[in-house]
Amino acid sequence: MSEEQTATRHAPGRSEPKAAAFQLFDGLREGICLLNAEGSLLYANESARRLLALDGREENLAEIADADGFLPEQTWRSLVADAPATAHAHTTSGPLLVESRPAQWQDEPVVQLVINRAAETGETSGVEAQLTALARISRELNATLHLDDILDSVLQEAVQHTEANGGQISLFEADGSLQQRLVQGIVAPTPEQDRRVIETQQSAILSTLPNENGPTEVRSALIAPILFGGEVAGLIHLFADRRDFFTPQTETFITTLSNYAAIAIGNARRFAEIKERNTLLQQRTQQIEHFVESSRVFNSDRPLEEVYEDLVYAIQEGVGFNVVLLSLAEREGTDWSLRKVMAAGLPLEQLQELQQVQEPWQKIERLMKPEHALGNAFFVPAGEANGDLAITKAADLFPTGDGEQANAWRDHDLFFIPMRDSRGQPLALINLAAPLDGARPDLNTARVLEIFANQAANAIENVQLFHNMRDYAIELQQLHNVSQQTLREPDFDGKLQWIVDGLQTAGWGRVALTLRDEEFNATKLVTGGMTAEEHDYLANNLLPGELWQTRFRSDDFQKYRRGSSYLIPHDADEAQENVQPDAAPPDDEEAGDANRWHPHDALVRPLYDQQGQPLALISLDQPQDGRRPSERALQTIDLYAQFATSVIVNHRLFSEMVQRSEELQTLVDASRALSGTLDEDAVLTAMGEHMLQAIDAHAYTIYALRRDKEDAVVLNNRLQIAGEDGAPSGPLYDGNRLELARQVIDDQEPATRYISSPQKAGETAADAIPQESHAVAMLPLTIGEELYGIVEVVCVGERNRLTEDKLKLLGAILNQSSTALETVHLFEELDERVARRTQALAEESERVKILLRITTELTTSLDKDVVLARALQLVNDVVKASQGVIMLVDEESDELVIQAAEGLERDVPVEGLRSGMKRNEGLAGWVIEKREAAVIEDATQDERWVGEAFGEQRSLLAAPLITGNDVLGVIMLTHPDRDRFTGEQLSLVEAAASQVANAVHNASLYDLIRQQAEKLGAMMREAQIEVAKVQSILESIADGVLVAEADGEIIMANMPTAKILDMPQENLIGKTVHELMGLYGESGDEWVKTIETWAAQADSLERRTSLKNQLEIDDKIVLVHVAPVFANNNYFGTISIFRDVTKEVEVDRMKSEFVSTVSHELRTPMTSIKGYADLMLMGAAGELTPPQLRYLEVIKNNADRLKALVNDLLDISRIETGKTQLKLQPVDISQLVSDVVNDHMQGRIQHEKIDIKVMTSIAPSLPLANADPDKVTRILTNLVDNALNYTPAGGEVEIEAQANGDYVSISVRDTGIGISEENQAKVFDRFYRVEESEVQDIPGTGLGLSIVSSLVEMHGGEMSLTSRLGEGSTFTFSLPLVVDDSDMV
Amino acid sequence: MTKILIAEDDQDIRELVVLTLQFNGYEVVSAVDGAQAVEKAQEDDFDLILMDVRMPRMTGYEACRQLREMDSTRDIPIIILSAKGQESEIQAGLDAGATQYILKPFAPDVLARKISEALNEK
Repeated sequence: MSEEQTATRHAPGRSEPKAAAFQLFDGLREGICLLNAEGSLLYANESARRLLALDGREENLAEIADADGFLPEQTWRSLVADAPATAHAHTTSGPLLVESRPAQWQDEPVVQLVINRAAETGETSGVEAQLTALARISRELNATLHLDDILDSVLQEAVQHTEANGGQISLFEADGSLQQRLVQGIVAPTPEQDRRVIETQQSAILSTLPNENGPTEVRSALIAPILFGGEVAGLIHLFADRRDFFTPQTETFITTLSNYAAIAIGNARRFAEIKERNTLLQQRTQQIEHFVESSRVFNSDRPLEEVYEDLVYAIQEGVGFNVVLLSLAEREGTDWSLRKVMAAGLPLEQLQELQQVQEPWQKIERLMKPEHALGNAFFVPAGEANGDLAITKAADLFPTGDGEQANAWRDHDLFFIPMRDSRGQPLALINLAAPLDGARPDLNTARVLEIFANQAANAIENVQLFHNMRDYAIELQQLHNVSQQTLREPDFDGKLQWIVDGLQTAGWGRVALTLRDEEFNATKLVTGGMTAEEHDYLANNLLPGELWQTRFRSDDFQKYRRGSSYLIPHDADEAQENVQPDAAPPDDEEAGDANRWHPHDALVRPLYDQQGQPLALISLDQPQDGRRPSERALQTIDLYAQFATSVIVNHRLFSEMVQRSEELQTLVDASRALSGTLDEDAVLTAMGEHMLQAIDAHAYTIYALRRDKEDAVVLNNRLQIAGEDGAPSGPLYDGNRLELARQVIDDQEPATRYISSPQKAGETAADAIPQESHAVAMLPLTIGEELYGIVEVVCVGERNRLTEDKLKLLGAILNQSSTALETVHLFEELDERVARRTQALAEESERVKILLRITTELTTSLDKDVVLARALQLVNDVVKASQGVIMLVDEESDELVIQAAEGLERDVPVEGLRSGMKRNEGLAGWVIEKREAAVIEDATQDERWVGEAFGEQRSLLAAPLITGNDVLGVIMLTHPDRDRFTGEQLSLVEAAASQVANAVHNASLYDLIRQQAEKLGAMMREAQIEVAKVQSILESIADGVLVAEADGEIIMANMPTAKILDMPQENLIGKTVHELMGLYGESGDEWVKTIETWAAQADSLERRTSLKNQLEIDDKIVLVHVAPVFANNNYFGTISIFRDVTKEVEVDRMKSEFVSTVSHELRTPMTSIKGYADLMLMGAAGELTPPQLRYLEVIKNNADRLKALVNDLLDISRIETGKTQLKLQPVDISQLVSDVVNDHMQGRIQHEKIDIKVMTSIAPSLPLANADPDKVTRILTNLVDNALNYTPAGGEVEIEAQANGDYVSISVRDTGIGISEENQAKVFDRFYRVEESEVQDIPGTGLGLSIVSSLVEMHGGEMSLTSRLGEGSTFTFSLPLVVDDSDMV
Repeated sequence: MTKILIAEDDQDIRELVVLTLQFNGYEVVSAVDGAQAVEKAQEDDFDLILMDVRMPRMTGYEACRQLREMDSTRDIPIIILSAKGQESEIQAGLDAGATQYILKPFAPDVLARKISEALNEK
C-alpha cells in the first residue's frame, strides 16, 4: 500500500483536504496519530501503524487498546482530554512513550499523539519499571492531597526500583530546619553532602561513604534535592550497603521522583492554604451576619412599638434616668401636638393615663428658653413655670433626695430634649426624670442624651418613613393587581367590580360606583361590601341626576372639596341625602375627635371624561381606620378614580366603535343586497329589511307617490313588511301620519314623530300600526331628482329609539336604495335603447358588409374594365335590378360611354359601348350635372327620361360617380316594374358609386403612372447608355479624369487616374478630395486647397478659372489641370485632368542637356577658329596678302554666325525650359533706347559701313517700365539688328517709344523688304526664315524673333507686327509700366 | 613685367591665349589642368590667372576654390575662360572665387582688353 493511499484511508470525509499535509508525517520515525475528541483515530502515519500494530483495525484507537489490553482506555481518554500529557504504553512491539498534544488547527479539536519508541536498546525492562513507577506515583498524585502519603509512595518506589537498602525524605520546616519526614531501611547522616546538594541544587552520588558516624552497612548514597518554587524544599536520600551502587540512570530516576515529591508538596501546601482561607471566610461571614442582625432594628419592618421600646430602654440605661418618656409629634391642622407612645420606668397604668393627655408642641416650645438650655436639651428646675407637664407628675414615683445638695434632682424638675426630623419639623420629645445618681443633669449628661436623641430621631424618622413607604407600596401593589385583573377581565361590569373591590382593599368598608350620563343620571350601579338588600336599596334610591348636577356646580358645595373628592360631613345639609345606607348609628362618645369618621359622613368622588362630561360617581364609606380620609387616602382614591375613568372611557369608545362597525356592516350588507338585483321590488324589499335590521325597528312601509286626477297626493302602499301578517296594501289613511307624510313630501327632509296614543285598530286596517305607543320616522325616497315616495319606519315602545344617529343610518341606506333604484330604471331604459340600436346596427352592418365586399373586390384590380364590371355585378346582387349600366363620360367627345353592363344581351367591348348621349342628356345627364342620386318610381312618367335603357324599363335608380371635383359618369339600375327601389338601396348604390368612382380614378391614375414609368424607364435606359458611353470614353483616354462634386466627393475617376494617383479606382470613388491631402506633395495639397476654395466661393467663382500644377508622384511627374464645372448655372464641382508628363519632362531635360553639351562642344573649336583667325588678322603671323585677308574675314564672319547661332539656341532652350528668370526693376526706356542706338547701331553702322538712316522718337518724360534691362536690351538689339539687316542701303530705321495706358509701347520701323502676309504669322516660329533669296542671303538663325517674342511675353507685354512686302516692317512690343505708389498718394 | 598664369587643357586654345597675351606684352606661364595651375601658382608670383573650367584632374572651379583658400594666391584676380555659357555655370564660377567670366569663343582683342581692365582694377 502506498503512502498516499494510507493517508487517504485514514483521513476520511471532511479531513480529505488535509491528506496531502498528513503525508509529511509518513517519513517520520516518531509515530503520529491524530485523534478526535472522542478518541477516534483520524490518521496514523507509517511509524505509528507499525508501533501500534494498527493495520487492519484502525477504527478506534481506544477500542483497540481495550481489546488487547496494552493501552488502557483511561490513558487514551486522559490523553485526549488533558493534552498535553505524557504516558507510557506497552505494546506488542515493546514499551512506548506516548505524548499527546493538541493539534494546532482551528476547526476541530484534534489530539496529536506522538509515539516514541521508549527503548530501542536491549535494557528496556529497567526503564520500563521506572516508568511504570512514575506512572503509579503520578496516579497517586492525582488521587490524594496528603503530603505524607505521597512522600511515602515516593520513598517506597525509590527504594524498591533502585533496589537500595534504605532511604529517607527530609523537608525544611517553617523554622528553617531540615527534618526527617520518612525513613525506610538503613540510613546514615550526610550533613556536609546535604549542604552541597542544597547549595548547588544538584543531586549527588556518593560512591563511598566514610562510615564515620553512621551504620557500618551504609556504603554508598544518592542525594537528590526536592526543588519547589526555585528553592530546595527537602532532600531524598537513598542508601546502599555496597559501594558504587548508584548509577547515573538511577540518579535520573530519583531526580524525576523528587520532582513528583515537589509537586506533592506544592499541592499539599496549596490545599492547606485553601483550607485556611475557607476558615477565615467563614468567620467573616458570621461577623457580617451579626452586623446585619444588629442593624435590622432600624431597617426591618419590626412593629413600631418594639422600636420605640428599644429606644426608651436604651436611653434609660445609657443616660441613667429611671424614667424615660417618648412622645411623638403629630400634625393637627397647622399645629403640632404630642402623643405619648412609650415609656421606661413607668407602670403601664400610669403610661396609659399619660397617653390620654395630648399636649400641644407650642407648650413645649414655650419652655425652651435660653436660660434652660443644656446643649440641645433643656432643664427646667422645679418651681419654674414648667407648664404642668404630665411627666413631672409621673416622676413622683421615684423618691428623690432631700434636696440638700444644690444639684440634687428635685420633684417637678423637668429635663427634656426635643427632636426634629431632617426637614426641621417637630418629630418627637423625650422626657427624663429621676436620675439614677439623684443629681440634676449637667452639660455632660445633656451631651450623652443628645447623642441618644440624635440616633433615636434618625431611627424614628427612618422607621416612620419605612412604614409609610411600605404602606404606600402595598397600596400601589394592590392598585397594580386590581389594574391587572381589570385588564384581564373581559366583561365591563366585571372590570368595574374589580375597581370597587380594589377600593375596599384600600380601606373602605363599603363602596358604590354609579355610571352617570351627561345629566348625571345613573345608568349602572356596582357596589362592594354591601348585602343584597343594601345593594337593592341603594339601586332604588339613587340620587337623581338633576340634584347631582346642581350640587357639583354650586359654589357652596365646594367647601366640601378635598382634592378631587368631596367629603360631606354628617352634620351638613346634604348629608341627609347621603347615598350610603348607614349601618351603625353615630357614636356620641367619639364626637369630639374632628378627624374621626362619622357614620353619616359621605365621601364622593366624581369622574369626568376629558371633555369634562360626568362619567361616574364613586361613594365611599366605613373607612377601616375609622378616620376621615388623610391626604394620602385621597390620593389613593384618585389613583383608583383615574383608573376607573380610563376603563369607562375605553369602554365607551369601544362600544361606540362596535356600534359604528355594526352600522357600517349593515350599510355594507345593504349595499350588497341593493346592488345585487335589478328588480325594483327586490330593491325595495332589501331596503326595508335592512332598515329594520339597522335600527331594530318594528315595521316599515314604503309608499309610492301617485297623484290623482285633482293632482292631490295619494300615497299608495307600495310594499310593506309587518312581521308575520303579510303585506296588505292600500293608501295611507291615518291622519296623524298623513300629516307627517305631507310635511316630508313638502320639505323633502326626514321627520319623526312620537305617537303615544295610536288610533284604534280597524280604522287603520291597511297599515301595520302597533297598538302601543311608538315612534314613527318618515323619510323621502327620491330617484334622481324625482320624489318616488316615502319610507315609514315604526319603532314600538321606547321613547328614544329614533335618535339622530339612527336617522342618519336610515338615511344612508335610503341613499343607497335610491341609487340602486335609479340604476334599475336606467337599466330598463337602456335595455330598450339597446334593442332599437341593435336593429339599426344590424342594418348598417349589412350595408357596410356589401360596401366592404365592393371595396375589397375593387382594390384587387387596377384594370378599369374589370373594376367596373365587378362593381356593377356586386351592386346588382343587392339591388336586383333587371338591367344595370355604368356609363363614363368620354372627355374627348363629351359622350356617355357604357363601360359595364348587367342584364344586356350584348357584351360590352373593351373600348366601351357608345350610348349616343351627351354628358348632359337624359336622366343620366341630370344625375351627372346635379351630382345627385335619384330614385324614380316610374321613369316613363319622368320628363328627363329619354329612354336610356334597353327595353321597357320603369323603375330607375341612378347615382353619379364622383371623385373629388370630377363626375366620371353614372351608375344606373332599372327594372320593368314600377317602384322597385328603396331609399336604402339608393344610399347603398350611392356609397358603392363613390367606391367605384374612386376605383376608376385609381385605375386611371395607375394607367397614367404606368405610362409615365415606362417613359421614364426608356429615358433612363438612354441616359444609362449615354453614361456608359461617356464612361467608356473616359476610361479609354490616356489622361486621368477625376470628377468631384461640390462637397469634394469624388464621383468619377477613370482608370488612368487610378494609375497616375497610384490608388485603386474603387478607393478613389466616394472619397473626398480632402482625404488626398498630404499624399501628393505640396503641389498636390495646392490642388486640393484650390478645389476646396472654389467650393467655398462657388457663388463668386469665375467660370474660366482653372489651375495647372505639376505633381511629383513617386518618380512620376504629373501635370494636373483642374477646372470648376457648372451645371445649369450652379457650381457642380470640379473636373481634374491628370497627365503623366514624366517622359516629356525627361525629353525636355535631355534636350536642354543636349543643347548645353552641343553648344559647349561647338564653342571650343570655334574659339580656336575665331581666335587664330583674329590673331592672323591682327598680324600676329606677319603681313597678309589681300586674298589671305579676305579668306580670313570669311572664316571670322562664319565663326561669328556660328557663335550667334549657338547663343540663340541656348537662349531659346533656356526660355523653353523655364530657366530664364527676369530680374525686374524700373527701367528708363529712353535711356535704354539711346544706349542701343548709340552703342550698338552706330557701332554696326560705322563698323559695317551701313547706309541707313536711324531715327528715334521717344515721348518726353516717358514713365519707367517694370522690366529686366538686359532682356529689353536683347529684344531691342535683336529688332534693330533685323531692321538693319533687312533694310537696303539708303533706307531708314526709326525707333519709337511712348506710353500707352499701363504700358510703354516700343516699335522699330524699317523701310526694308517687308514680310508677306502669309509669312507674318510664321516669322515668330523657331528656325523659320522666309524663303526668299534676299532673306536667305542675310545670315540669321531664325531664332531671333522667337526669342524676342518669348521675352516680351515673359514680361507680360505683347508683340505685334505690321508689314508690307517691299515697303517695310514695324515690330512693336509693349512692356508694363512701374506702378508708382508715390504718384497715387 | 606682368606675369599671367593660364590653365587650359586644350593645347590649341592654350597656345592661342599664350600668343595673344605675349603679343600684348605679358609674361605667360601655362598649366595643362587645374591641379598643375594650383601648383604653379604657389611656386611663382602671378598678377593674374586665366582658368578654363572643364579640365582633367581638377576643374577650374575646384582650382579657383583652392587658390582662394591659400594666403599667397588669395588676392590674385582669376578670369574664367569657358565655353560653358549657361547662367548657372557662370554663377558657379563666380561663386568659386573667379573675378570675371569670359565666354568662349572670344575675340583676342576683347580678351586683351578685359585682362588689362582686370589688372588695372587690382
